[in-house]
Amino acid sequence: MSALDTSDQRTQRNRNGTESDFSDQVSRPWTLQRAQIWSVVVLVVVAFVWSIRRVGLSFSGIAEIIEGWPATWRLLGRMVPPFIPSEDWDVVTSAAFDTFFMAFAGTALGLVLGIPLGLLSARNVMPWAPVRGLAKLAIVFSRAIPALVFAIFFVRIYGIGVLPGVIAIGIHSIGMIGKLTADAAEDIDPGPREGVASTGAGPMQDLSTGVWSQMVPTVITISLYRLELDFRSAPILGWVGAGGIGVLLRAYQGSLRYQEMLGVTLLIVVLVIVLEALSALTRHALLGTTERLSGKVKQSKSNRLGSGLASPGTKIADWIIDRSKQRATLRNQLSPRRLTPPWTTERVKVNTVGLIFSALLVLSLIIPDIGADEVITGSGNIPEMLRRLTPNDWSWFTDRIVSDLIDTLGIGISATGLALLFAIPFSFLAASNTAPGRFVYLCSRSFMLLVRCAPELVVAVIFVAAIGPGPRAGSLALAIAMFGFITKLFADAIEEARQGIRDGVTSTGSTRLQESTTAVLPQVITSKISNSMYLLDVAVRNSAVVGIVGGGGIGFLVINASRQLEWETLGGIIFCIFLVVYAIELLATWVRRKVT
Amino acid sequence: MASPDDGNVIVPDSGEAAVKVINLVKTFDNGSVTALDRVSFTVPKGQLLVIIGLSGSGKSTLLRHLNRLHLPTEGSVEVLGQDVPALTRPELRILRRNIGFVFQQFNIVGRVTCIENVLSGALGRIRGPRIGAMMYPKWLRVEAFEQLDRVGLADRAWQRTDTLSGGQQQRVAIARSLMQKPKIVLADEPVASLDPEISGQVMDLLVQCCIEDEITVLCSLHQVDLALGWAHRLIGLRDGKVVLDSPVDESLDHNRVMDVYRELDPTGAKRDEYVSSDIDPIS
Repeated sequence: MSALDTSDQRTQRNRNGTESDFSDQVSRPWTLQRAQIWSVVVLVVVAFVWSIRRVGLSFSGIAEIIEGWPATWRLLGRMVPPFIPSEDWDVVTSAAFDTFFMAFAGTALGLVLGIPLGLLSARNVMPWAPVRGLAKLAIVFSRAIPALVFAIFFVRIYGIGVLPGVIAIGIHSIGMIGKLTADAAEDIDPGPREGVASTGAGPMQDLSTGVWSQMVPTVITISLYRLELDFRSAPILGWVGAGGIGVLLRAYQGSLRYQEMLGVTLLIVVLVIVLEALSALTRHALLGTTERLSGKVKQSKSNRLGSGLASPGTKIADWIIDRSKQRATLRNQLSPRRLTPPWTTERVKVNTVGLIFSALLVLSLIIPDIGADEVITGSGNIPEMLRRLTPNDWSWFTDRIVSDLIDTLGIGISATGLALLFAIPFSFLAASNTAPGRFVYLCSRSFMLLVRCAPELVVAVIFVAAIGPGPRAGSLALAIAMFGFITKLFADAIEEARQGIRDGVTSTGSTRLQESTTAVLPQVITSKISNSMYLLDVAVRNSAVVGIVGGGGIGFLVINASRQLEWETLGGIIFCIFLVVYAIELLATWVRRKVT
Repeated sequence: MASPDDGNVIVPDSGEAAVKVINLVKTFDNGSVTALDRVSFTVPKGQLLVIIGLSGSGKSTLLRHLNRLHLPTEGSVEVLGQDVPALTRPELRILRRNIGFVFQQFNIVGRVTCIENVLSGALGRIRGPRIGAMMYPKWLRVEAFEQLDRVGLADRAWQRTDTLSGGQQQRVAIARSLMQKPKIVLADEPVASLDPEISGQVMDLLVQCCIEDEITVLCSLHQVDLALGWAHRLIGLRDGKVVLDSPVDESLDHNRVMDVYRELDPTGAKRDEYVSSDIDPIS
């Protein structure tokens, strides 16, 4: 009773405006969750400041670009006009084909190995925990080690050529494919599985009919996405001798023929754009139909409801009579031909795409000239190599490794920070629903796509030449690559923001900018944080690589150990990279789980 | 209000039992939640049995024990003369082949064709995994067509299942169960997510097919009127206990049936709980 009284009095007083009891409530109370969020924010800022200082940059990176501008300008001047000498054309085209097929075969290898591993690591597919753990370990390891590091290792085993490139891409792809496959398997609807189980199906039948049939679209998406990523990383592998167009890139850079180098780079960019378009077409041919079909379902549902209101519907008796009529017509249709699926346009499409891909797979084993004997003799060396890679003592461990690993972390974090700094505002310009105009949107989108397609190692080479070797160059180059990568994810997320909420805010009379911050930002913030953590994960992994071209960090020691045949050192460093990258990945997944 | 006046009540031959449940107890979360409390009943072959009760009264849990989607905490479950909890995995698969299960949420794979969903009902009869309808032998495909025809969907065979309406999807699920050539069909609120008109059609179809094939049916339902229309026998569950077990004939009073759903707690202390849990998916 008394509680009721006071609250009555309180509202009374407030209405009269004499006194407000809410004054102590107008600021948001400190909850544990809020404290956690703010401490994370502080930590993120501290980490960013630290990393910027560690790699020796100014806070926007712009000062360095201005400082290095004359040198960069001179370098760019020596690069234009890009050209490829006519006597090299044969070599260049065959190298381009090799690269294409290398990426293709590598992805195929990754799928063949990664999908079963992914299924084995899925909780709802593999009930036995030790097997799951082993599969997960393999997945995590292959994800953590960059393809370029695998390439260095496999070039030592199989010799210079396309084969080590294929295997490096394949082994590295296992990680992502396996992880996403496991996620897809764990995400399936358990209902249909129960349906299959209660027909008396065995475990393999359950896997094929209950699990796999639900996963197919996701697996197609994963495969195409991985193929795109591999097309992007394949041109670089040649840098360490793993075949393809990267070999030429290295040769031109080594002999300071910058015009040819830019020519090849542009060729790579064009190739990547074309392949990305092809992949988008394929995805549309295979999965675009799903969207159209689901649209149809919605339509037919509303039709059904509408007609249900209009007419009482058919009586069951009529319906059974109808059915016997149908049965009569069906008997005529039940020719053997009907027992095979009809050749609808969709089926033709899917089969054509399937045929093309099988043909490409066969070609990718023939064109780059991979011999079976090469595979067999090389593979025989693997156990011996692994034995040599395993360190016997700690003699390989030096302070240099520790400081270079910290540099690597610094490069990864600073590149992520710089990329985010520019990507967050830019993504609003590159999203069709928030861009101030069609023209701005198209310009921003094209710029973003262009940046995405430039191989980061080539950008790193340019920065190293312009502002000198060291983590500064690596960080800036990586920041540019990461900028292209994350802007696309951000812009896509913004485009998915719900229009209704935006209308609600606009109708209060807000400006465009207010509407973006109030209606759009809260909708996309969780996906932005989640994507940013993913970006950090990717950046740290790539920062281990930029050192190979002089961009600072652990990469230099990797390539050095490999050149001087210091196997134990190489093995030890790879293990260290694994630890660092895995730690960052754990952190990233932890934060992503917290925010979503 | 429908009364059990129609003459189509077929008295099942009192032969051997298809299902025999004795003192079945099921608890979840280490005994803190009791889903089934000493449930016992016997279903003779060929009987059409309907189980009614509020949401959460244990209907689904009970049905899921019969093909071992759940294991009992106590008590015995005997189906087709076999002790279900004690079966080995191969034996369980053979038993499941003989039990069709129709789910409330259909539980079919939406993105494959209807015929493939129906064919998956034959998985217990063949060996090895199958991907795609064409991996099933031709004689099975013919059979699947016949089952689809029985539910009136033969013309939709090669269409993706998720393009069908809810009632049609449930008919595909029924065809899948029939494809097993089952001796028993368990139906867990098979029409709960369908509108009343379609519900009637689907139930009539299910019952007709089962009578044709002499299949024993155990079906959980919310629609008492629908149940009184064709069931041989009603069982009412409340809080995991059997509170009604009666053949459907003149002696069965409609009010007695509705009591299963009624609030009987005289203090009314649990009223809110009942109201909130009694969300009928039909409305």
